[in-house]
Amino acid sequence: MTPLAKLQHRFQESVLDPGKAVSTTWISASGRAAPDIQLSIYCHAYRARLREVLANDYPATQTAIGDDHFNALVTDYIDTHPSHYFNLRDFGQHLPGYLADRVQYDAGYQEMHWLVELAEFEWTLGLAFNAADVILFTEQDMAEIPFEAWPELRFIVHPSLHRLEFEWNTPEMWLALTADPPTPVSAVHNQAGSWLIWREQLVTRFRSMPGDEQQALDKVCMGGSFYQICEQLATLMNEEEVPLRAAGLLKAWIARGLIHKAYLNT
Amino acid sequence: MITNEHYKNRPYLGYGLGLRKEHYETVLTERPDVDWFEIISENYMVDGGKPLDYLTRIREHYPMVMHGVSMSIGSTEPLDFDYLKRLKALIKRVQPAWFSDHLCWTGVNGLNLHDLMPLPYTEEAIQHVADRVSQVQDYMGRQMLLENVSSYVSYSASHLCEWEFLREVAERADCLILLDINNIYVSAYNHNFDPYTYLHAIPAERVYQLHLAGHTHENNLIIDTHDHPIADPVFELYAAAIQQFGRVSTMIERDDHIPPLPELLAELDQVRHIAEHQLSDQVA
Repeated sequence: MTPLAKLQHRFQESVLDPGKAVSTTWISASGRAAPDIQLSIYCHAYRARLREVLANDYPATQTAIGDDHFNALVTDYIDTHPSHYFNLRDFGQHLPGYLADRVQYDAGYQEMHWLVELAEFEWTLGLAFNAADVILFTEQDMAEIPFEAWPELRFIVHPSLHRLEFEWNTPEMWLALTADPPTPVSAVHNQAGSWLIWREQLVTRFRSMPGDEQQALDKVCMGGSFYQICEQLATLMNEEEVPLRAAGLLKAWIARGLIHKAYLNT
Repeated sequence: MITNEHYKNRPYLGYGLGLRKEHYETVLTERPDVDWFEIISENYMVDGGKPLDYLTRIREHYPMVMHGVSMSIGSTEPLDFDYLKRLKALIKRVQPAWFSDHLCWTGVNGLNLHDLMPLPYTEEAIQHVADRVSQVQDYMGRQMLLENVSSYVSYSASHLCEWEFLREVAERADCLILLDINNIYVSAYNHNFDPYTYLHAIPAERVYQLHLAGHTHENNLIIDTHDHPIADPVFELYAAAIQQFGRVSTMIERDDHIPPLPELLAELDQVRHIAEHQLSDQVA
């Protein structure tokens, strides 16, 4: 290792693990502040910056558990999940998984299963916010597809589209916690539901889905053909209802900017 | 005396501001009297959505330059070509007058500290950074600007002054300089050197942009917080910079406690007044 590389590794280790007693002879004592003070500026700034990023990414999570609890949580996260990313935007991506572990193994988090869902919801909203812009499939495009092509037609959804399953009243909690000022809300279990998160033009949106829509949309996302979507719906309703429901769902998805394009497997 | 005649080839954008999301709407609806905007490159390295939409619409009305924080040009890790590829794509989209990053490192071992870590002022570091700047410039097909950072640590290994280090890197790599006047002041205070000595050592022909910002006193040091108006001694140093370099594109960086746009415009007027006063003195 070159002297420069050695110096950078030593400095980084001191920032990542400030509690570890390491020699500071590599820091000159000629400055205005003593070497340990010089070093502490970087240690402090590192954690403060990352805490701020996580507070911006997870505002409802912070409000839900309070500033002190949130600070303790994210300080642990910062120390166990150092950033591997050039963009600060990606730093908080493992927090929902980290919380899931804490809820499972840490007595202090035992009653907080809902917090995992809340954090996952917040992170997914951010993913939708920054997803790629694409040209949307329109009703006009739909009208131009020949009748005989429909059974084999497949669809590509908007890149911002995400599906989440919740057991708690998570979106309701998020709305209450991010209101200005936040409004009182309780975590309620057994609120099982499928939720759709996406960006319509520039606005991030979410809504719950009935079971048949969830199954049909899952089929679309897996590359299923229109015929296969209809087959799926036929397991849930009378066959004569299927064409109208399938067409209605597709029309609604197109209207809300969920479909990027349609294609035929050739 | 140095006049603009010496630097006819240096592009000049005027007086600018850092583009911040808090001002997007005001900028679009009121089209304030700002000559240009600097964007933080990483804020727009996303696939789509609102920030890129605002960027596109604002770019239609204002010249821009791009300023990065993640190139880690001084790191002993290999250059991150995934990052550089995304940066290049953004440059193609924005068509900035130039792009810049900091004379620092941000991490090793595959990690990122998301901070502008200073380099030791050694011959080894000069050659290391100059080689990497050359690689980046070759990849981008254009020169880049390197910015001096504020620092709070001085290395026992340093055997050069910061200004010697900056000048030598710029000359060996044949790159340009974004000189942060506030950073000179902050580091001069923290490390007990004369900021004017620093300024006088900088090769004027390489300075394409100046940064101004506010700072905070803490723990017997000055921290480069960008959360206050520009301090008077920094304005004085800026006046000396204009005396020395002539007309250089100048902007204010504000990253925290971001005030309403009119407040920053008033501060920018102050900057403009100081610079134009220095320049009119030169002509006289």
